[in-house]
Amino acid sequence: MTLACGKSDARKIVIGYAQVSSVATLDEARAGFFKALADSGFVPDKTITVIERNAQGDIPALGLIMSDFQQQGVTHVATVSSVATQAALKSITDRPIIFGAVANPYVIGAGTSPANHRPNITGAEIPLPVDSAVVLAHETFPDVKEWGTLFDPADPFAEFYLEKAKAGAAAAGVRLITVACTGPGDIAAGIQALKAQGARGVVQIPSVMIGGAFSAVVKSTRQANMPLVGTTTSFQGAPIALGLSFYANGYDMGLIMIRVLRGADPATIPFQSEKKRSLVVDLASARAYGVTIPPAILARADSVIGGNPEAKTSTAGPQAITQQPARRGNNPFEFWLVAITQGLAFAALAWGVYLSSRVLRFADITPDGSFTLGAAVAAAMIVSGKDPLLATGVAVLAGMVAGYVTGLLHTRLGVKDLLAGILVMTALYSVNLHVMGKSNISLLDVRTLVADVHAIIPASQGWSDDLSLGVLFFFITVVLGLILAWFLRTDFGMAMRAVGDNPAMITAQGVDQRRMIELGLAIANGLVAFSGALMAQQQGFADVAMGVGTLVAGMAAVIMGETLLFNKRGLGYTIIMVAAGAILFRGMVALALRMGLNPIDLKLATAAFVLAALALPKLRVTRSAFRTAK
Amino acid sequence: MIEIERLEKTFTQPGGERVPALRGIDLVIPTGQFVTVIGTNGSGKSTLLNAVAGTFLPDGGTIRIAGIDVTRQPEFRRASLIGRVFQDPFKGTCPSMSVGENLRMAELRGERRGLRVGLSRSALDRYHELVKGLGMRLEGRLRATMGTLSGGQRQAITLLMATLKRPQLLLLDEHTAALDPRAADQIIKITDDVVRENKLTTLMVTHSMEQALEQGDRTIMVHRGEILADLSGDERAGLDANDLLRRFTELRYTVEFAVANRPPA
Repeated sequence: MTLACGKSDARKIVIGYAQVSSVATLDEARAGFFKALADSGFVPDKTITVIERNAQGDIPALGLIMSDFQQQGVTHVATVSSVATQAALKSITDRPIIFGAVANPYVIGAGTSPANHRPNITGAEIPLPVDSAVVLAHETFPDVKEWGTLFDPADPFAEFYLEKAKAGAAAAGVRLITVACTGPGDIAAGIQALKAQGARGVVQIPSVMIGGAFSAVVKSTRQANMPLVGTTTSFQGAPIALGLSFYANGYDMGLIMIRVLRGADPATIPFQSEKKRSLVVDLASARAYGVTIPPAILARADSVIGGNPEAKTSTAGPQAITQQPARRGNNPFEFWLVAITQGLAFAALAWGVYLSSRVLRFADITPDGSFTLGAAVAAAMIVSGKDPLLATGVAVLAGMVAGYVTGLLHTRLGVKDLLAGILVMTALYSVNLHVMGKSNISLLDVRTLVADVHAIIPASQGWSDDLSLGVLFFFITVVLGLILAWFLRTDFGMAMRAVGDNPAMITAQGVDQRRMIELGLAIANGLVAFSGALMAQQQGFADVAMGVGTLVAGMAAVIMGETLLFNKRGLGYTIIMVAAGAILFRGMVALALRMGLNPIDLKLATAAFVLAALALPKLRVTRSAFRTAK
Repeated sequence: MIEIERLEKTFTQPGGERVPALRGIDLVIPTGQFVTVIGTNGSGKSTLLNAVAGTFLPDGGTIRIAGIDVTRQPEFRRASLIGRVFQDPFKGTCPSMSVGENLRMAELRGERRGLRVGLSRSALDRYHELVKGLGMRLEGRLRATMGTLSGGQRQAITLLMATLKRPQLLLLDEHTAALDPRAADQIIKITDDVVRENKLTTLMVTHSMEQALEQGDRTIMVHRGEILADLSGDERAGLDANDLLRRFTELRYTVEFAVANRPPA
C-alpha cells in the first residue's frame, strides 16, 4: 500500500530517517535536523512524509532498515551516526543520502575530500576536538600528568580519535593511557584498569557505546577520584567538557537536506564541517568530584551550569585553583567495598541459578534476559519518580513472569529446557528496550535505595553511596538467605527439590512436577531480576546489554560455592557458600583488575576462575590418591 | 475395591510397528485382597500396573479405584489413592534428601503442600518408631541422605513410604528383583507384615513362582496382554511352584497354538 502511494505521486517527498541508537548526542542531532526542516516549512506528516527508524543499538538491523526504505519508496535518506551512514552507503546508490553526526566521513568511505565524494551522498561532519580537550584537561588540572581514556575497539572512529588524543597529549606534555572496553558492563572495570596503570584523570574520547553508558564513566571516575573531562557536551556528569554542538550539526544537515529537496544535486554539495566549539563547565559535577575549576577556564566557558552563589565566591578565592583534598576514592577500602557490594548484589543471582540448575536441574538460560529485565524495570520506574523499593519489587515480579513463561514453554508446549530459555531470553531483549525506551538509563543523582538507607539509618548520612548500599545489600542477603533456607525446608520446597532429584518419585507422591518447574523457574528468575535491580542501582545505570554473561557469572558463583563446601553437606551450608561464591567471584574479578588486567581479557579470566574452581576438588583428590599410592 | 474393565493399550514402536500390550483386561479386586501377578517378559504384567498407576493413559476401558473413575486422571492426581514400590530401588526415593524428608514427602501423598516446615521434631519421633518397626536398624539414620543407604534399605523405606498414608491400592512392581536373596527375603517379610497389618488391597508383580503362591490370596497369570488364569481359594492352595510353572507353560502353548492357527484376518 505504501509502495503504491509512493509511486502514484512521483513528486511526493518521503524521507527515510535512520539512527543507530538513542544516545544524547544523536538525539540532539535529530532535534536540530527536524528543526531545520520545520523552519523551512517541511513538516513531517503535513508537507512531507518521514519514515523514522531507530536500530536501538542492533547494528545488523540497519541493513534491514535500508532495504525497507527502498521497499517503501523512500525518495531521500537521512542518516544520523556513522554506522547508519555506513549501512546507507552500502545499499543505497540511486537516491540521495544526507548524513549528520559523523565524526569523519572519509574513514567510512563516503569520499576523499569535502568536495570529492560519492555522487549521491553529502552531509555535515562533526570532528570533535579531542586533541584540544586533552590540552584543556591539562590546563584545568595541571597536577595530573597521566590521563586515561577508554575506547571501544568495535567503534569505527576509535583509532581516529585515539590518534587525536595522543596528539593532544603530546602537545600538552602529558602521558595518555588507553584501555579497551567492549561493553557497558566493563566500564567500571575499565576505569579501575586505567587507575591501576597509573592514570590520574580521564579524558573520555567519543564513542556511541561508551557515550550511551556515560553515567557509568561518571560514577566510576568519581569513585576512583579521577577528574573527568568530556569531549562532547551532550553528556552530563563531567565537571568540564569541550565539544561541538550536535544540535548545530543536525541543523546544518537539515539545511543540506532542504537544498537537495529543492532540486540541488548532492554531488555538487561539499561536506560541511561543524566548527563552533563549546566549553561547558558543570559546577555541580565539579563539587561531586571534589574539584575546583580555575577562574581562567571559567572565564572561557561558553556556558556554566549547576552553579550556586557559594561556589561562585569560592572560585574567586585564592584556594580555588588548588584541588580540594579527595573526599573518597583514595581509600583502598572503597575499592574492595565496591567489589563486596557487587558480590552481595550477585548473591541473589547465584541463588537463582542454584535453584534452577541444582535444585530443579533445569538448564535455564533465561537469566541473561531476566537480569537485564530486573535492571530495566527498576531503572525505568526510578527515573519516572517511583519509590526505589516499589521499583525493586516490581522488578522481581517481572523476573518471575519471565521465568514462569520459560516454564510454560517447557511443560505445556514440550520445548526443551535450553531452547525455552533461549526463546524467552531473546524475546526479553525487545521487552527490555520497550521498558527502558532507549538502550541505557542513567540512575546518577536520582533517588535510589541509598535514600532509603539514609531514611532507615540516620547515621548513614555521612556514608558514601557504596557503603550505604553495601550495608543494605548485606542485610538483604542475610534475610533472603534465611527465607530461601526456610522455603526449601517447607513441604512445598521439599517437593520442589524432589522434582530435580527424582521426578518419578515425586509424581507418585501426587505432585504435579510441571507446576513445580513453572513456579521454581519463576522464583529463580525473580531472584535474578532482583539481583539485576540491585546491580543497576549500585552501578548507576541500566543497559540493554548488561545481561550478557549473567548465567556464566551465576554458574561461576555456584561452582565456587560448591568448591567452598569442602564436602560438607546440608542446605544451610550450601546456601551460605553459594552466596560466598558470588562475593568471591566478584572479588577475584576485582583483584584481576587491581593487578592491571585488561578488561578485554576479563571474560577469559572469568572462564579461568570457573575452571580453577571446578578443577580444585579434583586436584585435591588426585594429590591425596598419589600420597596414598606412595 | 478395584474394578478394571476391558482395559486396552497398544504401543507404537519406533519403527512404526504397533504392539498390543493390554487386550481387554477385566479384573475386580475386592477390598483387602492381595493379588500376585505372574507372566513372562513382555506379557503385559508391568504394563497393567503402570496403567493402573497412571504412567500412561489407556486406549480403552475403565479403571475404578474405591469407586472413583481414574481412567483419564494424570498420574499425580490419582497418587492420593495409590502407594507404589518400583523394581529399581533408586526410583522410589530422592537420593540427595534425607530419610526423614523422604518420609515426610510420602506422608503428604496426594495432599496440598503448604509453606510449613513439616519435618518437625514430633514428625521425626513418629518416623523413628515406624522405621524401628522395619527391624533394619535404620531408626538412627533419619537424618542421613537416602543415597547412603543400600538397595534393600531403600526398598524397605520405600515400602514404608508407600503405606505411611494408607493407600486404597498398593502396587508392588517386582520390588525385590534387584536385591540380593537375603535382602529380598527381608523385604518380602516386611511386605507381608505391612499388608496384613493394614489390610491393604495389593497388586504385586513378581517373576518368582514361589513368591506368587506364598504371598497373598490370589494369583493371576498374564500372557500377551490377557489374563490366562485366575487362581484362588482351594485350587491355589493345592499348588506348588512346579505345578504353577507347568500349568503356566501348558496354557501358554495352548494360546500360542491358537494364535498360530488363527485364520488370517
